Amino acid sequence: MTALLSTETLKLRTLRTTWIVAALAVAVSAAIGFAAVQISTDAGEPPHVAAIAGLPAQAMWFLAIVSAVLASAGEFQHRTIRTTLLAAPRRGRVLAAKGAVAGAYGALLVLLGTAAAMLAGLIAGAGSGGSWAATGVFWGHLAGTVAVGAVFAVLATGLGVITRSTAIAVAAVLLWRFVGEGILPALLHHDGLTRWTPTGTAGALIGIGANPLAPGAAALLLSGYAAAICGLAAALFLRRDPT
Amino acid sequence: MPHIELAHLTKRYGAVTAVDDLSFSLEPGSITGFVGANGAGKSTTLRMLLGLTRPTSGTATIDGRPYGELPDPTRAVGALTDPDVFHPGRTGRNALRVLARPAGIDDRRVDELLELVDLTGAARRRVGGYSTGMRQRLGLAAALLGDPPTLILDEPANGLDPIGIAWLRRLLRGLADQGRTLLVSSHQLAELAQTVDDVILIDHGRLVARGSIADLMARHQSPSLEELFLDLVSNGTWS
Repeated sequence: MTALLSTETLKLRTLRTTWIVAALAVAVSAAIGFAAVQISTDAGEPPHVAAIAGLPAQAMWFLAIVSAVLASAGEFQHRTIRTTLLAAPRRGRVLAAKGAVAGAYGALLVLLGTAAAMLAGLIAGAGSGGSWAATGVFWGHLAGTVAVGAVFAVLATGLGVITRSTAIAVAAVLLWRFVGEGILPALLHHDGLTRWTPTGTAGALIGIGANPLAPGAAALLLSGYAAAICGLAAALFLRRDPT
Repeated sequence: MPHIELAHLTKRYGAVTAVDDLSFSLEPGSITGFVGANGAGKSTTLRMLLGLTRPTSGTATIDGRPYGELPDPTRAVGALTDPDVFHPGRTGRNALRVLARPAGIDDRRVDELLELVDLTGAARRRVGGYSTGMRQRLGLAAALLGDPPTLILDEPANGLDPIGIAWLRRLLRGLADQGRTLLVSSHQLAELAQTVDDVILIDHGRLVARGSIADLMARHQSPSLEELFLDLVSNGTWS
């Protein structure tokens, strides 16, 4: 398993996309952090570290998802899955290694983004006062944000294996996030449904929105979504022939 | 025990039977051509042997085990399935490193093989910029990574120019002389005739003929492997 984890890491490291996504994560987060501090100081409100750190979370989660989809569905799109399975024919282990490495990279992206946003916020808010001391709540939210980045990346790995297409997988994520999660509560006449969606549960983990779900329950539910998608991916991956 | 053994191997895709009750075995140290027209079932057979396609029925084993159960497949079998199995954004060297890593093969072996297939100069270029012939040579390097005793090569001459084909002939002959078992599928029959000892000929997924080229040509009174192929496949004189 160690060799497979090392292989999947090497695959990520040896593609330009990985570094471009990481650079994008830093640039976008820094811009968000900088702009947020500027806006708050212009409004005469002192910036607050915990609020700034959490701002790029959703963008980082999306980048974590895209990276994981590129790594998993990309194997089918470029037909590298054939050589992957020739070198490591035990498919369950290959999928587990892919998920683990994508999860670690997703967590790393969130950490990078958070650090970039805070650093840019510090630069923008230099001399303007505000609270820059990390509190227990800050660390709790940071841990939640990073964990969600990892879980979303694992889920996206499964989605990539199910769809075998980067375009379809990314389109499915976008449709679900911006259409599915938006219209489902209205269609089912159940406004409270939003708290149970992946985005709703992720928000409960880091204190976004007014979600009454306890963080532990939210973590469990989110992990359940990832486990369900990865379970389906594993069943299909074990049964279907690679393209 | 035969090195490679196919027993009643069958693959159906819906109503289409791609491989039909195919059985043969190869002894260690033989170099065998796997011949058939387009759609005859060669690639499907090789993919089943390599665990990439699941048979509908029958078995395909290497050293008595299905490919997926080999303890160290990269060191047991080298395979070339298609030149387009490398990520276009990865360099040639990194493409090989990625395949070497699961077997614990170090970067020195990767560099040795890049030298062998004359890609050292292009090792740090992205595969997307390689010609078909270069990708084919990279695929051959990938097959040789684990220095395996068995090689399964699907159309290894595809995309190679005449110089490349001559190089491939020498390479395959050299590998066979080292006592390796080679199963080579090809459309280039004249070329194959110069390289292999035996042929297995299939048509519509079924075994048509098998034996040494000289014996088959004598038996069917054919002046060349190409004539033999045309006789057996076009005229339907299955034996």
